[in-house]
Amino acid sequence: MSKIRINIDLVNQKFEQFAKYLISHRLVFLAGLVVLLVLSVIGAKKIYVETSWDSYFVEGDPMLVQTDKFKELFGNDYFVSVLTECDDIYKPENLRLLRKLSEDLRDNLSYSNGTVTSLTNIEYTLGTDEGMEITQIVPEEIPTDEAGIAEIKRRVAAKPEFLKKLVSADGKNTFVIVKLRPFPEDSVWKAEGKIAPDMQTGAEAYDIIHKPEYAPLHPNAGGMPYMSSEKMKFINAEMGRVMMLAMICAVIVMALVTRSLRGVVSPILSSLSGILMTFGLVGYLGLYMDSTNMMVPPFLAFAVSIAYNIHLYSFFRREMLLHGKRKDAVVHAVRETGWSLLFSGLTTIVALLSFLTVMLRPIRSVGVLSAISVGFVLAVVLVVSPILLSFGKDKKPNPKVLQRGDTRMALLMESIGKFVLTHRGKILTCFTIVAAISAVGMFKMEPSFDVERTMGRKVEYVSKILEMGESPLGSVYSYDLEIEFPNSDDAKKVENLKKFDEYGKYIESMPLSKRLTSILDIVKDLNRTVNENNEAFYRIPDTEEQVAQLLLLYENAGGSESNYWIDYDYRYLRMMVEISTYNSNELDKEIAAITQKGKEMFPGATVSAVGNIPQFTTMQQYLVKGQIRSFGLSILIVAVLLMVVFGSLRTGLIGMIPNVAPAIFVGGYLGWMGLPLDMMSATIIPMVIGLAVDDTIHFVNHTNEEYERTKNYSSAILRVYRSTGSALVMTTFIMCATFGGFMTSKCTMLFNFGFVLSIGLGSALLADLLVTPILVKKFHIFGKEQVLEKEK
Amino acid sequence: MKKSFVATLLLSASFLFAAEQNARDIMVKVKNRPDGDTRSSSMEMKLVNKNGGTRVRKITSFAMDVGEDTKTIMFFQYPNDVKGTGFLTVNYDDVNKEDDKWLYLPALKKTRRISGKSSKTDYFMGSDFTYDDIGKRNVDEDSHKLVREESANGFDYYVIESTPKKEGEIFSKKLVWIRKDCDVVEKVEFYDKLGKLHRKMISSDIKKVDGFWTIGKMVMENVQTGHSTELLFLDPKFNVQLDSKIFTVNKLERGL
Repeated sequence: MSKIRINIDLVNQKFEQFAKYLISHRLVFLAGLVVLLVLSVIGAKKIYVETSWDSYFVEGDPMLVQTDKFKELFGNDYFVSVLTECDDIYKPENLRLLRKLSEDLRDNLSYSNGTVTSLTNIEYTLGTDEGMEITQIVPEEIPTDEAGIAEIKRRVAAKPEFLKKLVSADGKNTFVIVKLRPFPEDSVWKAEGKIAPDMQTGAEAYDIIHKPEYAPLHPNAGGMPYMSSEKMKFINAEMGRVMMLAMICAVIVMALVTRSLRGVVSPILSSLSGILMTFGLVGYLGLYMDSTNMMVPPFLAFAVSIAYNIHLYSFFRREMLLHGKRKDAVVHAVRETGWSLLFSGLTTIVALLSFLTVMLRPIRSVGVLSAISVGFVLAVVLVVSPILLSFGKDKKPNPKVLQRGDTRMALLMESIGKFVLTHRGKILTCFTIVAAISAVGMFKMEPSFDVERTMGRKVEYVSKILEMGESPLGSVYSYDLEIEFPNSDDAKKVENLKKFDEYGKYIESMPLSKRLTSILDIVKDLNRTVNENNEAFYRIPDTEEQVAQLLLLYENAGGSESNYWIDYDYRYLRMMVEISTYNSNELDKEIAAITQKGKEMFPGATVSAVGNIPQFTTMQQYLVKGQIRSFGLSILIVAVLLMVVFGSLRTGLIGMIPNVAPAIFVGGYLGWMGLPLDMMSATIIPMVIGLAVDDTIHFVNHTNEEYERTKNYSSAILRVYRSTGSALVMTTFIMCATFGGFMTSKCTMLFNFGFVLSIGLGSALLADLLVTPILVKKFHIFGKEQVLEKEK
Repeated sequence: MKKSFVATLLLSASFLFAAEQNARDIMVKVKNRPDGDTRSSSMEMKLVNKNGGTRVRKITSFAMDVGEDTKTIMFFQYPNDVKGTGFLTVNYDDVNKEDDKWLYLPALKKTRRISGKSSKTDYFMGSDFTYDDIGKRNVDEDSHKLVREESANGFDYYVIESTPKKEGEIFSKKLVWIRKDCDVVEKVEFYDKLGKLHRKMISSDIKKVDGFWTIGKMVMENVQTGHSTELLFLDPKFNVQLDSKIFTVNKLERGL
């Protein structure tokens, strides 16, 4: 095995030649960078950011196919809802305002289907002795006298179901719903250079409800388009803020650590270049990018850029202090770090690409975009950073450093190394105990997508949306039940409708169900209307002909809602279930029980749950499976790479211990602390593996080199502590400071990401400084020690 | 200079007014195209959704003009579960007067007078035609502008752009192609609030029956939803002998 080991010395020589070539052609390379950056800016302008939950699934996913079919049958299931609150909606001025708001929404939401359902704008069929009157609850001319207002209240009371849907019993809240036309295909609005239809709708709804004239009604909007648009707005603002903060933190720490302008400029230039080139490529290739976690690739690029530069810079600085010859120092730094940087970059890229095993596009996208940005950053660091360091004059060697033999930090690191080598047993015991406790915690991790747990109430829009869901009338989440009968016309058979009614009662009895809507509302209401408004007839009629003729009457009276609830061939029935709160696990159980009950009640028919909530459930399952797969795959690939590069199965496996450990610590922390696995936290573990392995590679690689020189493990390890230890500490410190920017966010998901990733990076550093040297020495990974301690 | 500017302005304004007036006159002519005092026909309505699903309804109808107003009685013949359902309307030319409507539901053995606000912009029987599209929308509910005159398929057309005067209509404007030789609307394009094409109507099988220009087939397609409606007017008859008593609730309940 040792025969196929890569000849590090030869590789280092190649990097030395490369560095010399770079320095002699430095202006050409810089000009090339400028051209690339200009092209990237042009490409970045073409980027489109996805926000819709529908786009989470990869093409051909069964859940997506089912959702698409559902939309084909019943149209756009998205809507805009508005909850109003005032002292008394029955005051004429409030009614006038509510009508104005309702019509504003109906007429000015670009994708409105032209109808609005609200207390002031609902068509109201009233059964009279001689026929039926199609009228409105609130007349065209809003009454100002007591009798007129009393008549409105009487009409509301005559149809108790209105109290559940349109107006609260105390008259303080009303609920307005605008249904939407089918959204055009992505290719249509993208070709027109417009924003996504759901974003447009959400933004328009925001503008309308925030008009000062509606302030007395305190309108609060809901519905998926509004939620997506608000989320996008929040993420955009937060991303800018957090990014800026991270940049400032990192710059301060880098300035303190490197005490050099170049030490600060190089990482920033390479990270910005890497990010820009990635965005450019995303724009040119039209790659998927999601608003939820689009912050991750830039942050990662920033972090690795700092890490790579620090490694390069620390070697450069040490050499400058020792002999002061700038170009020689650059060549030496590239020679010593080039291979480690290249290899650690490649392992990070591979670990990130393990996200491709997750069947969710945002996670895949984070993997791909992060891998691309790490690749670009790596290229810029290897090419541009040495060039930047090469500009300037030579310096005189630092006499103090020459006197001490090394920098203070290097000597400190050496003393840590000595401590580690003399306390091996205790360190390994502590490490094993913490790892075991964490491993137990890993099994407690649970996924969650609900807005309260992932975003948190401290985020203003989340708090408003949740308040709406908790009010008696409003709702935030809903799902649909679809019953597919074997034959056309089955759906309007009286026996099936009666069973459907029974089924509805069962669903209504479930703790989380808040409100149901189905074709039964229309049929029952019309049956009561044609029977002189007799409440006893608020039921399903007795014959199929009666059902058919009532539906015809409904269509004839201009009703168009029936198509939302029963399909064209009368084969499918739809029931929309609005829920009060969203607790992933409880709701999953509830939906499972409901679909099971449906299957028992409708043998021969297919009962399935569709809509955003079942989508979340499926996504959670994908996330858990994908998390396990990407964790396993990243470990496997990184181990194989380590084995190949170090030319030994044993070295590869031993090298994995300090890398798997931080992942277990992170998983354990998430599990024990009850933090949900979401679109951000799910990316942490493979990312930690990808970043942690860098430290291991640097440490093991340099130990390998030093061992070749000294043939003694302790000496080699202590030399590595001196030469590389400080770079490892500095990079981790700066990366934690960078990701720490996330911890300033009010958003739970972002805070957790920053905090947990910092824990992961910190534990990876500890594992590499405390455990890796012990393992290297214990297992003699570079062969039997030739110069023993005594001889040394 | 100033005078000539004012004169040009006045001249342009008068041309504009004349053009509008001309377009309105054309629309009035279309509305008043002779169609006899009484009519009868069988109508087949085929609704086709985006997925190719179809619903077919067959209706027999009789109509009689009483002054400027029109009385119509319709009976559903197909599908069987709505057979015998009848619909009687008195359509008043006066936009301020509410139409009278009665519906008979045989399965419930009930005749219901439908009163109150029912929008003419509502879709008719679940089709893509609004009541306005199949009825006679009052010409003065829209502003008209003659956009151009054109020739195609051997016919000459006026192309008129009509814009609703009131808010709350389902279209922001429509383009109407009128055949000059017979004052028949052959094509209409309806645009939505965003100015995008929403529905497209095409009339075909235009021929003279009993000396009256008549349309044999109308297809309305909602280009945004992919839903379409085909109306076939079979066996149209004009100036047929009709007793005014058939336009009564009594007849509605007794059926054909």
